[in-house]
Parts: sequence; C-alpha cells; structure tokens
Amino acid sequence: MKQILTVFRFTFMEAVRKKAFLIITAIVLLLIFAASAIPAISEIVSSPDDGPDKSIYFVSDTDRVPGAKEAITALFPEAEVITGDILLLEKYRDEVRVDADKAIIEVTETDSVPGIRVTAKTFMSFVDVGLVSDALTPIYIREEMKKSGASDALIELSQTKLENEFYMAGNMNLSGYYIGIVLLLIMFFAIYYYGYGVSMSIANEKASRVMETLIVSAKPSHVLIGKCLGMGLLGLAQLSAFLLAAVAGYLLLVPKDFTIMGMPISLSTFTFSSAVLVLLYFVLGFALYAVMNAVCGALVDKIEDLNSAMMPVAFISMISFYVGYFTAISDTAGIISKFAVYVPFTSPFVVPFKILNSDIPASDIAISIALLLAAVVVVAWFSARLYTASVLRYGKRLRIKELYRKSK
Amino acid sequence: MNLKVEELSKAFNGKKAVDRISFSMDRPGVFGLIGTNGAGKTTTIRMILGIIEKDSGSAEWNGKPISRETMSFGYMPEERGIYTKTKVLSQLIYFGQLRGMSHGDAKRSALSWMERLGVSEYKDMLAEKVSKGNQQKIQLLATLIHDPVLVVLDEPFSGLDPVNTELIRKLIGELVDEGKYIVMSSHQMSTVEEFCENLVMLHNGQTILSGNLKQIKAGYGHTNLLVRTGRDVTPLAQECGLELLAKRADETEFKITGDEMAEMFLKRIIADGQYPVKYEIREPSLHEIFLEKAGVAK
Repeated sequence: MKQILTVFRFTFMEAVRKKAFLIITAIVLLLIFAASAIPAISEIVSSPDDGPDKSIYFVSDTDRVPGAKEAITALFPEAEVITGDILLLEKYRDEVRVDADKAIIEVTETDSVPGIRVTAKTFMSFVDVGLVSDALTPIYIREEMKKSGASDALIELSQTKLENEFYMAGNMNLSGYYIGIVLLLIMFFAIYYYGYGVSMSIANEKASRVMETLIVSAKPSHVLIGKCLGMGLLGLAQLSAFLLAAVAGYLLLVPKDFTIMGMPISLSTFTFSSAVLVLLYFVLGFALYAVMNAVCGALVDKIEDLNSAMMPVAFISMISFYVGYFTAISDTAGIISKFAVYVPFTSPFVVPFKILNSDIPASDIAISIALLLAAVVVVAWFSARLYTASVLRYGKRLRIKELYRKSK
Repeated sequence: MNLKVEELSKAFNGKKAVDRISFSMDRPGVFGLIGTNGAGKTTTIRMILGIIEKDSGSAEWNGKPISRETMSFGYMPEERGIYTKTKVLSQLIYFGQLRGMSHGDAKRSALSWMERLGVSEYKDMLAEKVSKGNQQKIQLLATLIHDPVLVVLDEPFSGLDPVNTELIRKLIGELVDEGKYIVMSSHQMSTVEEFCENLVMLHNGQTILSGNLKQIKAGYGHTNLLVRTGRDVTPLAQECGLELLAKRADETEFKITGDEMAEMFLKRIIADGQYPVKYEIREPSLHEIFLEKAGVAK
C-alpha cells in the first residue's frame, strides 16, 4: 500500500508540475470564463437601441390575406419586415443565399388559393414556415367566411384554438439533456486524455530505461495501480477546476434570465445522489480504460510506437462513446441503449446521461455498477500480469497470444 | 551473511541464455560475473534478483529466496535510466521511499550520498541538464540510497570518463570496507581483475571458468615474459623457442612454458651482451585466460 501511495504521489506531483499541464489548465479556465461571458456580451452588442438585426422581405400578389405584413411583423419582432417587389425576387434570393439573417416570405395565389413560401439560407432559419402558416391561415379563413356571409359568431368560432398543454411524464429537461451530453464529452475526454497520460508515462519510463530501476524497487502491480490513481486524481482535479470555473462563470457572468431555446438553465437535475453516481462512473470508467492503456504503454520500446499500441483501446473507447452519444440523442429506450447500460465499456458513457434525465431504474444502476466494478477488478488484475510480462521486454513487440502466455 | 546461487538456468524461445550457473559469496567483497556481450550476465543478475522468472535453480540470501520483499538489495542496471524531466533530489527521494524509507530519511541519505559523490550542486536541477557522467552517478545513488547489504552492479564502468571511473573505483573499495556484498558484471577483464577475488566466466550462457582468481591464475603457472632491452631480442627468443605475443613501443611480450625457459632465455640475452631493463615473469592475464577459454568453448 505504501508503495502504491508513493507512486501515486510522485505521478501526480510530476504531472502537476509540468508546464504543459499548467498552461493548458490556465487556457481552458480562461476559455470557460470567456464562454460564460458570451450571453452577456451578446446582449450588450444586440441591445434594443440598435434596432432589428434581421430582415424579412414580404412579397405578396394577393389581397386575400389582408394584414399579412402586420401579422408577420408581430410574429418576428426582432426582424424588420420590408414589403418587397415580386419582380425583384431573384435579387432577394441572392441576398438570402449568403445571409442567414435575411428571409423571404411570399404569399402568392395559385388556382385561386393563396399559398406561403419561405426562402432562407438554411433549414435552421429564424423564420419557421409552420409559424407563418399558423399566423396567416386564420386571417385567410376569416376573410373568406366574411365574403361568404358567415355570421360573426361562426367566424369567431372558426378562429378559436383548442386549449393545449404538454405534460412531461419523465423528469428530463433541456438542462439535464445538455448537461448529460457535456458529461458524456467530458468522460470521453478524460478517458482519452488522462488515459493517454498513463500510457505515455509508462512508455517514457520504459524508453528511458528507468523501468528496470523502478521494478526492482516496487512491485509492478503497485507501480501500475499507483500510476493510474495518480493520473486519475490529476484528471479529477483538473476537471473539478473546470467545473468550478464553469459554475463561477454561470453565477457571475451569465445573465439571470438567460435561456436556451426559451428554457432557463437549471442545475436541478444534479442532486447529491446523482452527483455521487456520476462521479463513481467517472472514476470506475477511467480506471477501466487506464489499466488497459497502462499495458499499451508497457508494450512499446519507443514513444513513437505508442499510438499504434493504443489503437485497440482507443477503438473500444471510441465505439463506446458513440454508443453513449447516439443512444443519448436518439434512442434512449432502444435495445442498444438498454444493453449498453450493462456493458462495462459502454456504461460509463451511457448511464450518467440516463441518471441526469431520470431515465434508468435504480436496479439497473446497481447491476451496471456491480458489473463495471467487477470488470475493473478483473481487467486490472489481468493488466497487472501483462504489464509485468512486458515492462522489461525490449525489441519486437509481443503479440497478444504471446503476451497472454507470458502473463500466466 | 551469504549469497548462494545454485544451478540457475534460463532459456528464451528454446535457446539457453544461462545454463546451470552456480557461485557463492560468504563474506563481503566483490564477485565478478564476466563474459562478452550476450554471454548471459544480465539474465543471471535478473534471475538472482527475481526480476525475471528462472526456469530452474535457486538464488538465496542467508538461506532465503531473494526478492525485493525479503531483503534489501541495490541494483544498477546496465541500461542506465533516470527521470530526465524530474529534479535530481526528487527522484532520489522517490526511489528511497519505494524502498521503504520515510521522506525525511530518503532525503537525508540522498543528500549525504550526493555530497560523497560530488553532485550536491545538481540536487535542484532537472536530470536532463546534468552531464552523462553525473547522470550515471545519480543512477548509482538510486542504487545505494537505502543502504543495501547486497549491491549488484551491471557494467558499472561502462561509459564513464577516467575521472569518474576513478571515483567509482574508490567508492567500490569503500563499500567493501563497509561490509557490502557486491556482485559486479563486466566485459572489461582488467576491471574484474582489480576488484574480484572470485568470479564466474560466462560464454554463450555456459560457465567456462569459475573460482578464486588467484588460484585460477596460479593454476596456469608463469606463462608470460615481458622484456625491455636496448635492442630487439625477438630473433634470440625465436632461437630459444619463445612465442612472440605482443611487440609494444617499449617492451616485448613472449609466451613461455615455465620458469626454466625464462632462465635459459635470460642467460642467452646476457651472453649476447645485452642487459635487460625489464625482465618480468608473470601469470596470464584474465583477458588471455578468457580468450583461451572462450576459444575452447567455441
């Protein structure tokens, strides 16, 4: 235990002292504060005094939708609605093609029925054709009913909208969704970046021949565990610094009424228990990949061979990340998503998202953690044997079959 | 205290790297493991220290198997390695702590050894900033920091300049005086000759010679004659049946069959009117014994 702690402390302190680590940490902290300040800056830049920053060309060849321009103006208060000339449509289209802040709304008559066409640079335009249709269709119906002599009561009835309400049975909200995605990215970053740190550290010891001095001083398995713990704590410390900076940036710099797609940012999905579980998945997930990366580091003689040795682990982590990502954004209830909860390689990517969005029963979390824990123990035990078999091996890299034989 | 190595063997991919090597040390001193590159010296050391698994045989210290858990040993590998991006003192403390020392003890010991080897000024420098010779000294300090009883030095003089070689020579002598058991591997026979009372000579994994150096040499008898005279005496030597071994700038070395041949040759030189400045009869050098034995082994 003492040796593990010695290796752990040395690994952590050496990594923290490195200039590259300090510079990257400082740069990322600055970026986080800069990102937190963006909403406030954009509010200042686009203050109401400056007038609308978007424009809509309204072009119509029919009088069957009277007051259409006023309705569109009310619908898009951030945009200036300009009455356009139908003969200049090509010129307007040229402008819209290169400017996302411009759009064309045409209300034209075909076969005696008015229709709506919206032209914008991309499908993500600020003008939604459905909204325009919802605003103009009642006007058209009212006018047509008036012309046909319908009573005012009947016209009023035709304009009535049914009361509607969306009730979400689950606890998922936009904040939980985005935070879940961010955590998924952080998990992948941690596994890749700090796992790479573990293998690089071991490969360096092997390439610089410190390894032989090291393993006569300490048990290889102790070195392996100490290194993984050291790099793991380094990752946790750095990520904690980033998260604290993000929280500080949110509290100090983000405007109180700031929303994403109309919804306020909320950290309500983070309860104490969910935070503990997310942390547990981070630690176990990192440990699982770190011990495998350690073996990759022990396999190479030269640093330049490290990337190819790490390929299998990188491949597994990449696939697991994409499983986590795609099940989060599109298939939270699919068979792959359910299966991925139990697979130790994918569960660290999949389960934290589900925990934050209350999309997983407690029994599944318990089984998933138990399997992940068992996998960490088994993989660490096996990795320690592979590590011992390969740290003093120089020259031709051992194949998996040979490695397995020597580890027995 | 004693070190006992019995019948140690190791094969890699079916090829014997070391075949049944045996030796022992019953008192402090320097034991020599000699042989060419690839003879099996490093493999033998690694087996003794438990770094690699042996196929058969045993290595015991005071009757117990040697391992990092059961005894305090120091090992300086042939392939030197230190943390180049780490400060010298920090890594020495780290190695001391790995060997069970407290931070304070490791620091005190490191500073003391640094003083002794004249590298104190580099304690706060990154190891990559100090010279190769000083890096070797730091490696030696990492070996000795925890004051081990058994010290294993694999090619300790390789790559050292004359000044540092002299320093390490002196240190090895001091370590022996302090009661250390030192196993030293080398392919430089003169080094082993200087330090080792007992040795094992390896060639292609086989033990081709082992025992007390003085006795080994005595067994060969007086076989070499060094002569320095005013004129070239080679023709006279040939007349007397002596074999020319080497002709150097200031002396000539011949192979003789014994003291009688040397006496006869001396009389012949004097009869020729020459008086030798140097006339030395000696045993064969370890280098010559090795060449002979390795040649036989081939």
